[in-house]
Amino acid sequence: MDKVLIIGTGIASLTAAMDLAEKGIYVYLLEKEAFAGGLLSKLNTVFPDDDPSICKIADLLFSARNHPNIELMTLAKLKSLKPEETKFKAKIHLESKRTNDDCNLCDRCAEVCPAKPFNTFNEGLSLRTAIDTSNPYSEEVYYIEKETPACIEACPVHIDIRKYIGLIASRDYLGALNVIREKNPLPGICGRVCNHPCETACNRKKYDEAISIDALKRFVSDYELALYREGKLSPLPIKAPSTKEKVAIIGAGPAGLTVAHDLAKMGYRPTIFERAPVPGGMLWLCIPEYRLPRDIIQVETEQIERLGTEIIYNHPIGSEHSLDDLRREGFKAIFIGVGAHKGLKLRIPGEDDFKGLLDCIIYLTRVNLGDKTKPGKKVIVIGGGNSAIDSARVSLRLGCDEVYILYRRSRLEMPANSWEVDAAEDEGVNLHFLIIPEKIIGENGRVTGIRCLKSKLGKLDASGRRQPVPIPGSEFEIECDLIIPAISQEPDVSWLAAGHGLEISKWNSFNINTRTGQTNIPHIFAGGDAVTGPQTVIKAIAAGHIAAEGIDKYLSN
Amino acid sequence: MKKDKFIPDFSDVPQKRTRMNELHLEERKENFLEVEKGFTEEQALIEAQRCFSCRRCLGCGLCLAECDTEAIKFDMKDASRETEIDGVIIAPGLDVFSPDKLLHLGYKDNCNIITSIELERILSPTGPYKGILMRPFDGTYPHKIAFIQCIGAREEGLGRDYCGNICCSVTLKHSLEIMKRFVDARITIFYRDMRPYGKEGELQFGEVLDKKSIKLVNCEIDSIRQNDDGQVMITYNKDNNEQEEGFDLAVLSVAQGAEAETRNLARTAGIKINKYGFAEDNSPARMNGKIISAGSFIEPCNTMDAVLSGHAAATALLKQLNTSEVQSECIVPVDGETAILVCEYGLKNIWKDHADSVLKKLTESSFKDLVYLSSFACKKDGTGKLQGMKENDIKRVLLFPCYGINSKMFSLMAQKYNMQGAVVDKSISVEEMIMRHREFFSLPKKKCISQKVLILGFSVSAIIACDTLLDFGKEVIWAFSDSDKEYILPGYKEKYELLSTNRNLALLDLKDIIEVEGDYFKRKIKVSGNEYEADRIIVATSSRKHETEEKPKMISNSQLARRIAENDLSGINKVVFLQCHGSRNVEFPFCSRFCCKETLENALEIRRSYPDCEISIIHRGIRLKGAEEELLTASIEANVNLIKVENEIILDNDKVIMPDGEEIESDLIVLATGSRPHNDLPGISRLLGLELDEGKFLKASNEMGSLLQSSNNRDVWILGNARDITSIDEEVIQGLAIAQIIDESVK
Repeated sequence: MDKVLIIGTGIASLTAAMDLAEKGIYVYLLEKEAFAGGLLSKLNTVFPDDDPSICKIADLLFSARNHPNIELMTLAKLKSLKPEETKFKAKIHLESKRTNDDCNLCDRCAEVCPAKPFNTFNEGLSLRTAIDTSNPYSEEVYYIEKETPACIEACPVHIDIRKYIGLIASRDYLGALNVIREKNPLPGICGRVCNHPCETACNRKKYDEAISIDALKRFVSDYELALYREGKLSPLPIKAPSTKEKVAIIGAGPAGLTVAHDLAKMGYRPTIFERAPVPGGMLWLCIPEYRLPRDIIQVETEQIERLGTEIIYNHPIGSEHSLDDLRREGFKAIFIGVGAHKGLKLRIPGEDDFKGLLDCIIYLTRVNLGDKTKPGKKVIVIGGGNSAIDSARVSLRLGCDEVYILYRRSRLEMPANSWEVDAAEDEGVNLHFLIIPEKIIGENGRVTGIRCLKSKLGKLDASGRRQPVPIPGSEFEIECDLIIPAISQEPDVSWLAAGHGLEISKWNSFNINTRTGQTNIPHIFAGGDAVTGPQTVIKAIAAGHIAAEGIDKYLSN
Repeated sequence: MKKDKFIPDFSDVPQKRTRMNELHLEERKENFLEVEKGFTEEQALIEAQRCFSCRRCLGCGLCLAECDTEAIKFDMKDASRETEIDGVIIAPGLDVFSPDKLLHLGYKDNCNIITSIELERILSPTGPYKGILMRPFDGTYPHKIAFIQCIGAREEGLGRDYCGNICCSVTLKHSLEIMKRFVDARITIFYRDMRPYGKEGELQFGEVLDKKSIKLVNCEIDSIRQNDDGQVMITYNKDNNEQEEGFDLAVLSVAQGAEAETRNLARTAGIKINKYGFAEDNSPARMNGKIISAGSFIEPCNTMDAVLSGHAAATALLKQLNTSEVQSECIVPVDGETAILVCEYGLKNIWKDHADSVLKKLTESSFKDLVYLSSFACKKDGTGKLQGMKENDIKRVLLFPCYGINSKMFSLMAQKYNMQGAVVDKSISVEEMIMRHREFFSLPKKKCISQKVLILGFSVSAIIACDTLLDFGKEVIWAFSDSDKEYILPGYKEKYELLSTNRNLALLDLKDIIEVEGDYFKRKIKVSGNEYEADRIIVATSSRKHETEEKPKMISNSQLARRIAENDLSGINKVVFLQCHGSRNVEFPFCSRFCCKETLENALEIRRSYPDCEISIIHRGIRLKGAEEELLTASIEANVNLIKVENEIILDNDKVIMPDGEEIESDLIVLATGSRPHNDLPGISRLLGLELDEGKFLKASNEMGSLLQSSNNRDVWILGNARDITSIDEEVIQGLAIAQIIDESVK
């Protein structure tokens, strides 16, 4: 008997399946969803004749289910398909439905189920239960879906959020913190500066507002810190030196710290080489103190040191101490987590001609390393990201009289956290939208102003945001004595020795295997902003975990 | 997928999130103290208690305790299996585009801005509001509704530079449906080009244009937002004029994309896909290899085309596999009491407002004890009722009324309960059914396999159908006008010549047929001096180009293509293309479908060879399918001037006069001449007694059970260009599919 595999259970697949089965061919019908019927089963009526779509597909589904020559598999995916002479060998993965064929469709499980997720079959317009019976054609399976809440799914490091929120609700704050630390070594930092995709995904948001997951994380971390400071809790004991291989980590940013944390826990001997005199990378150098107090960074870095990590400050890796040198010194693996610190240029005339133009990263670094002098009277920040907002708010705190932010799209498209934008506005930053800088103006070698064009929003770009289009003839000038471009950053790769042999992308970032963090040179790994370009802390931590695992795998072989 | 506000059954007390204490604005000046102060313990406790535990499976096990049959296995593991197979059909269907990231459309956070799929669910009797159209925001009836077309399609920037094909027709269908429900509804469709699907779509479009309360606005949408009272404000840009208008509900007509998994699937199966994720070269029309794609994996398509491609894929595989046909068994009638299973869903949908009176007639008839009501006869509710009948010792059951389930399926269903089942056609009235209820069982139902098929007309689909039917061991009589052979496409000539030597094929000249007589499925074809028999008839004529005479300054697209190839356009500095010449007018109300593509291809070709030539296209909406959209994008980039007009442009002495009276000067006018049905069709229509439609095509059904069947002759099927303007690929698919369709039909 010939056998045919059909992927999909829409009307085309069912039609073909019936034709073949009637001709005596055995048919496997594969559906990746829990229910058969495809998109058509969701529709009300079918174009062009106005018949109910359910009636169109019902008999086909019914016969496919009952036909002796058809085997319908739901939650099934084709894993591989190998041609073998005239035949194919197919490997099929079947996800568990958590119910078996004994089910008699009595519906009682659905009646008692306390969980009320959104009904995906109704496009989220109503609720169902965790036992999905909402599809009128669901009779062949009762599928009890997996237990991953939306927040955990959304978190790049998949902290068990539901568990720790529950622990907080039952006052087990330290227990909650342990749950967080399983996945995130920097809870106090993330509790303050994370962009919390978990809250964006939170289902409660669909009712009123999302749970303040991030603030709760901060609360438990602060709670523990307070206990230390009051002497009610003794700090972690310093771990005895480990026995496994030495690993060098370049950069003490969130990615590097995570790699060190994970490797130290696995028994390796990580050493972090940090160019700056302080830990945290961007966290310290670019995030202002009013968002992230420095003692938090210090405390959380210390924790990682106590696990058995050595951090060497003021020690750049480069021409004097190269990657090859590290290898020779016995570091069996190297992780590059240098971040993306090089500000992009505006690429407009006058940019390199005058004093009074300061990239936001240089500016914030200077301030965060202690230089609190007033930079100018009237400051213009160009950009719409978090660094732009930080630069503006810092300038106000340094005593600048007027601070403006110019952004080329509208407020809706700003990549900065919306709450930061609101706070900046509250504090007195002037926000101006739909403005494209055209030329820097200066006199006697100093910036005096900027000429801009108004813009309107045009076609969509790949990010789904509308591109700003300059309006001809709308030029205007603004006076100022300091311009801070904050448009984006890329990794700085100039420290690499000539002939380093690493694959670098056209955006100056490191190319890696995304599943292991490994670069094209087997013992060198990379992660964080150095790979992705400017991204979030939590993504850097996620990259750190991946690289640590990759390093472990590499060194174990 | 997104959220909704109109959810009635949250038992939790609503409670906004806890606000964190912050450093006062004055205190922030000239220092770097932390602004956010963090939660206090009490605040943290309240906030943590707000968590719903995410409304997914908690692993609480309540269902486990409730399950008598112990069917719930919480620790069930994923499994995998390996099997040997002889062929693969890939038809994973479509994924709906999510407008989440198109922030200016305001979809993500506003519940009165919905997608067309959400509207489908709302309109559906099995949907969230049981088929009542109301706004998700507050449950009121929307009266002023906006449709916004081309969401997630025709956007090069989004990496989706293709036409969604079906979205325009879906919107037309929706607006007519809403007009039926709310007579006073006012609908506005914001569109770029309306592209109705096929000739049925064109007729629907005409219907929409006739309705005064449906307004079509050709414009670009600037932004959509929702007011606090749920009113949706749409800002749009028409003729460089920014306007704002309020609506009760906005529907984003989202384009379907290739199913997300297709990329993995293509890699696994080793097949080529295009950059949008649709199958590149293993549609059934290509007939190469044992991996065949079907349905919307080829291109977004409607149900009819999906079914056809399914049939075609089956045929294409069957041709490569060696299987013997299995005859299905007769079902012998049994005696006993007859019950009537009433499908309330079918009842509501067929009789609409009269459903109640029909039901009353039934329940008050002498039958009333034998009437079983079921909300869904084909769902488990229906099988439950069958179980009940079995217990009452009923031997025969009539299903009344039903759209979809055919008798065979229902008898299968009834057989499970030791009953004989039959379906009452939806066209039969309740009185008639009561009167004739025993007759439905009087004939044994038997699948009737066709033996001798008559094919009329010469076309790609006729060649393919003939080839396939001969392959499946049928006898074929093929009649066509001999002159048609001149128009045969390269590549099909050899195929035809190979076929013509087959001893199971009889070739006739169409004009020799004197008469076709006899009952359905027992036709006698009379030819001078001879007589043939056939049990099925297929009409598959080709179409004709609606050519005009070539004049020095006015040529058609095909003539232009030749002149471009011969490099014969020197001295021409301005070319004007005139679209819809001889299509979409009173004489021929349908779209010729391929002229827009030809025009754009020619325009781009001219641009390549003559970069300075001024090119204009006067059109009534550029209509392209799927990835052909790239041609339009390329043309705009190549500085081709597109001028949109509402009505047909009439040529006045070889001059193009615009509606405003302006005369367009040009060195060359190119007429986008469309296609016309074959001139044999009226003759065939007389011969077989078939209906012709407004465009002089033969009328055919597009319903599931009787796909492509002539609307008034049950043993005649209409294929390809005899039915509608059809592309070559579609012709091949229909030619392949027909082999399955004619065997499915029951005598």
